[in-house]
Amino acid sequence: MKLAELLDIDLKKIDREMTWMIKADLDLPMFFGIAGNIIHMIEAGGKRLRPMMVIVGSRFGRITDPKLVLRLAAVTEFIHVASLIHDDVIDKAETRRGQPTLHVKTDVQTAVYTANYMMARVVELLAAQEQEQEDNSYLKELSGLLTSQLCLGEYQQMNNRFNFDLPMETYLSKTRNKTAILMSSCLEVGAKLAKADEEVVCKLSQFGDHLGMAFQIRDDMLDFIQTSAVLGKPAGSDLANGNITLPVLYALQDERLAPKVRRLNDNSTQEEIGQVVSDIVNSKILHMVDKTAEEYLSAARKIAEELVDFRASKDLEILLAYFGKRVF
Amino acid sequence: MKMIRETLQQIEEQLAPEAFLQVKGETRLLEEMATLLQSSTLPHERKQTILGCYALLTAAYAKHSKLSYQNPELAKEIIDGDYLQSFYYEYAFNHGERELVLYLAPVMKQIQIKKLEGKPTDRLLLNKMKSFVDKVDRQVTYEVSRTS
Repeated sequence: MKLAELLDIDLKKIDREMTWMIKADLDLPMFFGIAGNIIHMIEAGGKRLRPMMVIVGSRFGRITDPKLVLRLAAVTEFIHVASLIHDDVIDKAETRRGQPTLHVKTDVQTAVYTANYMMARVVELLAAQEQEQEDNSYLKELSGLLTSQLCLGEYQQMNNRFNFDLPMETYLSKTRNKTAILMSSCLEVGAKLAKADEEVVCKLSQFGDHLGMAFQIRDDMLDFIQTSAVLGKPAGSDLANGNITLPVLYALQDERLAPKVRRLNDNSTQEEIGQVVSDIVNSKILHMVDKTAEEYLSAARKIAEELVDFRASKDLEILLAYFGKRVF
Repeated sequence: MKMIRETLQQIEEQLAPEAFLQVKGETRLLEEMATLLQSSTLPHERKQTILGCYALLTAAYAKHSKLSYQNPELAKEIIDGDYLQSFYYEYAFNHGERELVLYLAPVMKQIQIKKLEGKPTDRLLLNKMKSFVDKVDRQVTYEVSRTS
């Protein structure tokens, strides 16, 4: 069963809401290819994790306005799709979900402006909503999702390429900025929308943070253990790009592995990278990494137990089972 | 101009150090905006915040212009533009300029559409900022005249 079905969420409604955001924009000429390009990207689908988190968060509140929850859930995914366009340009990705990426279909400049348009469209919609209901501040709540933290994570990654002296705190902060904050913010936004108690909002935010950290750490492990066919990129790509993830940090603490890792640089061959990847896989490093992910999951589980009085706490268990899947 | 210098310095102190960013926009337009603000009756702090918002947005637009794979700094330019744009919201909200964010939202979107159409956008933001300053200026004048 898919996550959306387990959580009883109709993803088609989210996609329809996203499509409406484009079609209802009277400033955007419909004959203009841009509208069609964005709609194609929406139709190409995706996991839709962010909107699902918003909806789950809203189930912990006292008041529910399903229309508003749906609108803001769709907004989080719309922001995500826009940020993927920039990511694809940066990563020079040629395809996404089997389709040519937008900068391949058009050009780099058009792709960047299209993503900017999407972000600006979201702000325009939220601003209009706020002007209608003056007591709410959706824009401020969501402004944290408008990529600021994501950019900090990108800077931290960019500034530390092949930095084998990267402090653990910087790695954790980068992981938090790139993944965990989004998960915690989506749950938090949903809960605040539904006027959940402040304590509950705080717990959901912490739950999302722990879950996000565990998810990203396990995702980092995949770069070492999955085949290139499954990953859609060569195994060890993170390492080849100088991206220091937890398996690398733990390998640097190993007397035997550390010198081999430290020899890697921008000019290392695929073979040299492959050798280090295989040394890490054949050591105890990945067990240690998995243990760290498990610790975050336990912390998340503990918070879910504290919210057991809510009917929606079963949704947290579902999220735990989904994101906590072992990869190793 | 002193006001521009002080505003840019204030913003750069608040930007994340890992961004290694300098806020650079079109000097001529920034000066025009500063001159307009100086002649308004708004408190100095508010003038500085509005100028800061304008500087952040124009710097973000500058970072996202003329992008191609020929540019060796492409990735950094994209992230810088994204960061400056998102920091604008943070900065505006932290300095109590929610009203400005709501007022500018439609034109910020229209600017991106015009850019996609390859049309000039230089003065669109400036003109909208000017009308915002006029609007709040009139509000301030009205409130002062009512209380005096």
